[in-house]
Amino acid sequence: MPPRKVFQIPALAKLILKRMSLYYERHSIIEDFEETYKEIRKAEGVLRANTWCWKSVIRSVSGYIGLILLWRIIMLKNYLKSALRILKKHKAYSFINIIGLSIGMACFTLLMLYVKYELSFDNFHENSNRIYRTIMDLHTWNSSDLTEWAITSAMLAPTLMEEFPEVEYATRLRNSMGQLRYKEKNFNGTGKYGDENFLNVFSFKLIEGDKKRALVEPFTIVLSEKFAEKFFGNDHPIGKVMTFINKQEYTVTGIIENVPYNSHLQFDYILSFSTLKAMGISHIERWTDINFSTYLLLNSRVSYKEFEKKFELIVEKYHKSDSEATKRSYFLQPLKDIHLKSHYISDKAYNNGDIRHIYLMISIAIGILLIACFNYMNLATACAARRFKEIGIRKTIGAQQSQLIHQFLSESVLLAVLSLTISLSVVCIFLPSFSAIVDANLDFNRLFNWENVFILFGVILSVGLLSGSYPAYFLSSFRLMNILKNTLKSTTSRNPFKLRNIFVVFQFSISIVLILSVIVVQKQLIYIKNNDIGFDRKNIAVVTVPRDNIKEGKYGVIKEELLQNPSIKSVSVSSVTPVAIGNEDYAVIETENAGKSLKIPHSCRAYVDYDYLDLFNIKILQGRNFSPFFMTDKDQGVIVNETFVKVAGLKNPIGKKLIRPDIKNGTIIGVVKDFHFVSFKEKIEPMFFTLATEGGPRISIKISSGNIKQTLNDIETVFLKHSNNFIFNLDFLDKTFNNLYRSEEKLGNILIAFTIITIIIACLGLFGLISFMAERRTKEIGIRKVVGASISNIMTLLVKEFLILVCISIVIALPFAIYVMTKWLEDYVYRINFSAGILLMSVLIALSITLFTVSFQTVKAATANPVDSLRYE
Amino acid sequence: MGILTLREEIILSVLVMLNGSSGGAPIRRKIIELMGKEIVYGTLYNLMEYLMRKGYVTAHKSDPVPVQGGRSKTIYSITKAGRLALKETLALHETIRGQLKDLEFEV
Repeated sequence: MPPRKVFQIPALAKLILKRMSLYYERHSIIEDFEETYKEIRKAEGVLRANTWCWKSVIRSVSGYIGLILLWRIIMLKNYLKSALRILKKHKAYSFINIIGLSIGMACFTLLMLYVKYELSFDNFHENSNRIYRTIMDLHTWNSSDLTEWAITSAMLAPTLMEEFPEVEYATRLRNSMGQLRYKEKNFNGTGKYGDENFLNVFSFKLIEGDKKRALVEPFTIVLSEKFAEKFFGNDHPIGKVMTFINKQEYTVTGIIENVPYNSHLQFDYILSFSTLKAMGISHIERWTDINFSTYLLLNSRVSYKEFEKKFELIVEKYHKSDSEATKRSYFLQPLKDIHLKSHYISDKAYNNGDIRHIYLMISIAIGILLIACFNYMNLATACAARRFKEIGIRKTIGAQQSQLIHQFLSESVLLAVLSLTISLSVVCIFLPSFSAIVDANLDFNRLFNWENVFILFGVILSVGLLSGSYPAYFLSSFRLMNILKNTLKSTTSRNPFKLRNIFVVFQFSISIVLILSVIVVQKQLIYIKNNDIGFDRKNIAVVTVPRDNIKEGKYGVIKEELLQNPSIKSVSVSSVTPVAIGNEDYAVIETENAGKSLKIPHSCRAYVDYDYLDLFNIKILQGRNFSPFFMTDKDQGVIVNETFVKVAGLKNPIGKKLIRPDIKNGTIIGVVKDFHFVSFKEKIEPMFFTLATEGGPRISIKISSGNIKQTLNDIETVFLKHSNNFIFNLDFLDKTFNNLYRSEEKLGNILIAFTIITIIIACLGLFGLISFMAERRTKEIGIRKVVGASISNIMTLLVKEFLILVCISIVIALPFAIYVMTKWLEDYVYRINFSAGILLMSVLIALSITLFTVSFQTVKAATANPVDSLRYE
Repeated sequence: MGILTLREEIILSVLVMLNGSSGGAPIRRKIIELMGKEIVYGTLYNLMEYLMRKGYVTAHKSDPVPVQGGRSKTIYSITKAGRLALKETLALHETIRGQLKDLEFEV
């Protein structure tokens, strides 16, 4: 008769009790419980019996858990002890594992710091989630595509604030650059014109001064703490009067906290916006002049997507007169997106980051960690034979599979902890150079906050558990009989080989993808730097000096004196250098074409003198250069570039009229060959030169390459002789040019560094694997040699397997890499093509690295004397 | 011989009362009867473990219960050493009680 169902204790409780009875095997827990349960049930009913049962189970559980933990700790001590012994005993094995894992973790930590730094941009503003930047869509000259600009008219901000209650505050900014003077002290700084709402929108803290009044009056200035200290030291700066570019006098009305590095707005000072009005600059009251950035602080109740639609009203009301070609529309960009998601926006003033680079970093970090984990897995399983005896003995004295799994997992976690401590010191050493490479302000102290500790803890756990999982399962699943009878090798080696091969293929695929991307990025960089950009940039020094700083008020004086120096070949005065055209002037120009005029929405302009085109070696295709022999050149002469001619559709450009508000009767006198005055990411825009011999403020000096130091000293002497209150500052044009590609260079540097690291880790693993293989096959190799195999036979035997794996990885990795890099290259209007050479090169690199790594051990194994390996048989 | 703690004393006494040996459930029942409050099995087992280590109690599995699928139960029995220890403890109680009585401290 089976026990009557009615008296069964609850099933779950029974399950728990069963687990417990493993530890209390001398006692008959379940039977005792059932008996008492029966009694209580008979006497007091089901409910009471169940309550009793659960109560007792729960009260017993705490003691049970304590007991388990006690045993776990006792066993853990044993596991760790044996793990340390194994680490000590197999030094090469532990070295490869620990080095691999710590390099992987160090890379991860560095990249994590960098990614978090990039993501932290502009988060410090109190209302950062309600601040938006206005972006303007404008048809370019190539009217099919829209270009997005981070600049708008100065009228937009006050209009929005007035007409829409959703806008809490709106502020407009304009860049300003120049030299400030207080008494005898002169300093250059970058700054902005900002209106009275600037401090309401952004949370830059005013240390001194009144937030409400600071930027209201014209000719007032707010300085950053750092900048103020340069001028005033410990003095009280409020109310002091400073001179800006030798012209206007500004009263200091506030001191602002230093701008954090992770702010996309960087400035040393803010000039009050009302100054522009007081100076009678009419730009700020025109809707067509777009040189101002607009930031809005929206009410917390509106969604910005909703609000964006209302910009149509603005377009309707204020841009009625726009022709179809210059139609514009507005949208909003959240403040937090500005740093990372602005690559599609023309914002030449700010060198932003790129969210795609961030994704790339994250995937590299995870990839390197994975490679290190796979190394561990491969080596641990490959070296399993070394631990057969240990596993056998543990199993014999009663270890269950789960206990062995615990053992191997605690081993790998221990290794992860060790690696992390090593990697933290590595990070400590390399952080400064890393932050220099990525051009970010990283600090070791940033590492120690709860979030990071939490992440690193997670990394330890996941690396430890992931890398331990497969070996633990693999090692613990051996049959005791097979281990002890030593019949294991033949039965189990087939299966793990497959997974191991997958790991190797994965590692090499990652390496190959990285190798290919490095080659492509470097080639593109070289292409950019060496490509014919259309003008000379070697040995050209540029000095920026405002005319007001020159004693005689004329650039000609300086130019003449410079030219007397035999090592100075040529000097030109212009508004901009060819590297920076476009920052200065967006203009609307009408050209005459077969009786009809055509409006080109915006083009770039440079004011140059007679020597400019010669100095920069910009080639003239048609017509002539500006010449002092033609008096009309001064206010009528215009030289355009090829693109301009193309856009205007001119067949015979020379002599065509060009009209602009400030050029009454312009005539095209020449056409120059297109040159890259914008980054290679952008198309060459239509541009034109006009003549201004006293335009300034840039003086470009072409010097001969001998004794540059002396020449530079001479140049400085000339400038200081002829100027007042001027801080001499000289830039080389090629350096300025290279700065345009800083983010590419950054990416290139990072990619090189991490590719090398990835390859090193992958090769370490491969090295470990091949040495183990060779060791295991020593006898086989010995016998093969005895029966007549040559050294090359044996080498092929060992290398073949890995070469096949690398070939598989090439097949897998190349299409992916090509896809990714084509996407990357699409950013550049002027770019390299994917050639067979690039692919071949990456394949060759991958193959030769593999062969190089593998050959060490194979040569050793193949040349070994068979007597040594077979002596004991 | 050491002096027993109260809990050990109770368990040993209960074993004596149950004719020297018994299963877990009757022991528990008896203890509750004596003390008037619940004792959790976990506590009981831990105490038994302790007593077994000291050699006052032994445990053995009984024959399976004579029903289909019936399992064997653990039977605990008091040893000679256990009885001796219990006696000593009880004697100590007597002494204490006697001396307290002299001081007119009645229970």
